[in-house]
Amino acid sequence: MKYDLTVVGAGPGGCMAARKAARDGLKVLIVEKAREAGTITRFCSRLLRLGSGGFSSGKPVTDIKLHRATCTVEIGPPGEHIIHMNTLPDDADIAYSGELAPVFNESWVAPTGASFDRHAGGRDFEGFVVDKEELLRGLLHEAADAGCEIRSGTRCLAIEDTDDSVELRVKTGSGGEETIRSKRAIVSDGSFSPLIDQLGFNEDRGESRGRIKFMSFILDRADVPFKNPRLRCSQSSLHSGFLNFGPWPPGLWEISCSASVASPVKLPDILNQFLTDSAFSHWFEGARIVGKQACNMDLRRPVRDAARGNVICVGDNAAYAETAIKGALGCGYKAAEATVFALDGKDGNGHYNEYWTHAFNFFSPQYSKRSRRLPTIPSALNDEQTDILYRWLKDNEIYGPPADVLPDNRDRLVDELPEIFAKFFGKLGSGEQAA
Amino acid sequence: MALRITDDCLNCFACISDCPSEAISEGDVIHVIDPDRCTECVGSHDKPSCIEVCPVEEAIEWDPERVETADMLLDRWKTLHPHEIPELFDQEEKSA
Repeated sequence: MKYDLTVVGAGPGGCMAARKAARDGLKVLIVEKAREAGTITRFCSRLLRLGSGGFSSGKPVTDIKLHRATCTVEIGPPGEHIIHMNTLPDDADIAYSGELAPVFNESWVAPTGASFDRHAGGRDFEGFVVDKEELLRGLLHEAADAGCEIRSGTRCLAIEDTDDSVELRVKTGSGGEETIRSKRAIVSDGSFSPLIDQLGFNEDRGESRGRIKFMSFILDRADVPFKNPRLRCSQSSLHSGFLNFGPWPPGLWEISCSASVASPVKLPDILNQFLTDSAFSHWFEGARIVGKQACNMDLRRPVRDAARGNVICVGDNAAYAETAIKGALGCGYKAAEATVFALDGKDGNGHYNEYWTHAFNFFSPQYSKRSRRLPTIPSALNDEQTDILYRWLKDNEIYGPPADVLPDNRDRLVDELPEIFAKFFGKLGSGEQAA
Repeated sequence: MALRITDDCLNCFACISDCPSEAISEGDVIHVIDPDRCTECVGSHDKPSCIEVCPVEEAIEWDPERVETADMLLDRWKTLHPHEIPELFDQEEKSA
């Protein structure tokens, strides 16, 4: 067999897996559907959050202590930064040559300008928005140096895990199809993976909670009254979801929104109106749209055992959006390590599954309790109620994402803002998750 | 009519993996639909899946150069999916 390992998808998880496996001496192939590996055409998060908070819940949960996926960035001269994965050995360090846009805090902003913050004081350090393509290209370069073969413009149509190998049917840029065999595979093909569905990994995840479409505009200029912001703006009279705003290296800004695929909402119209005719449009006078991105995402519970047979599924496909960049990097590293173990006759799958179930918050009973599905703020409240809630949170010095602060302050909310309380807790389970 | 992808396409791949007839691929600049494989989802879904999932909304349109009847599209589906049984829907709203 020509390859020990095939990695499907050259995102953070896949690139990290390919580099680690190649450095450990495996014969590795990484396939990427985009014509040029290391480019991103889909909308995707670029925020490298340093702390251990999950994607939607900022509060650490206490029953998971083992190897929480956190990271540190050592800032060097321009182009010479090191991303260190705190719970992984030093060979997981990543030399990052791109720009870093620091993000201090995250704020939820009402159409009136009222806001509340994730952290007290508004200056707690959240992380960096990175140039993700630069990050991926660096990893791919190092993977190639270690002997990894990279095939771009190659899309995986089907996967089959036979007892002693994995067979992948791929379609190349020229339209031809071929079958690639390897001893093991790491599937890191992002949200909405047809491959892990074919492998049966989705069977115990429950039904999809729906499919969401995302779109973002990249802007060259914005005049925002917040320092180093990551903002969740909303104007429910315009859109029933959040309008997200933040830096987009190098030196640009990104606004984005999302909606259910099943809804008739037109995302480009929402974004255009946000820019030109909304409570926030004065931030964007003179701004120019220099790019656009989009994607779909499937909302499912995390895969329980992400390593089965000869396959490990990594990152977003196993827990949509919740692993974020640092989590995907950790998954890639550990999946490669587990692959080496498995090829040595050890329990590689057990090794990976142990990591997977302990590195993130989402398998914690506390986490699932906390993230019981509340309606989103813009879908539950009108513009005036949003203003009232945000002022109340600010005046009472309550900090944190809505998924935390609303349930944590139920008793006060029901007394002091009964009308708003009812919007969230009067019909539990009928809407999407807050935050 | 077969469907076609316009310049508004952002190459996000949302439509590609959903196409039941593998008619969509990455073109030179934007994704492209092979009109000889597109059945407008006749035989598979009640509406074209690519239009349903496209986040950009205006990026996929009906191609007036390729007007085809439901029967022609179903025949194409049968050629593309031998030994399979088509899902049949009322297609009257398709060109709305």
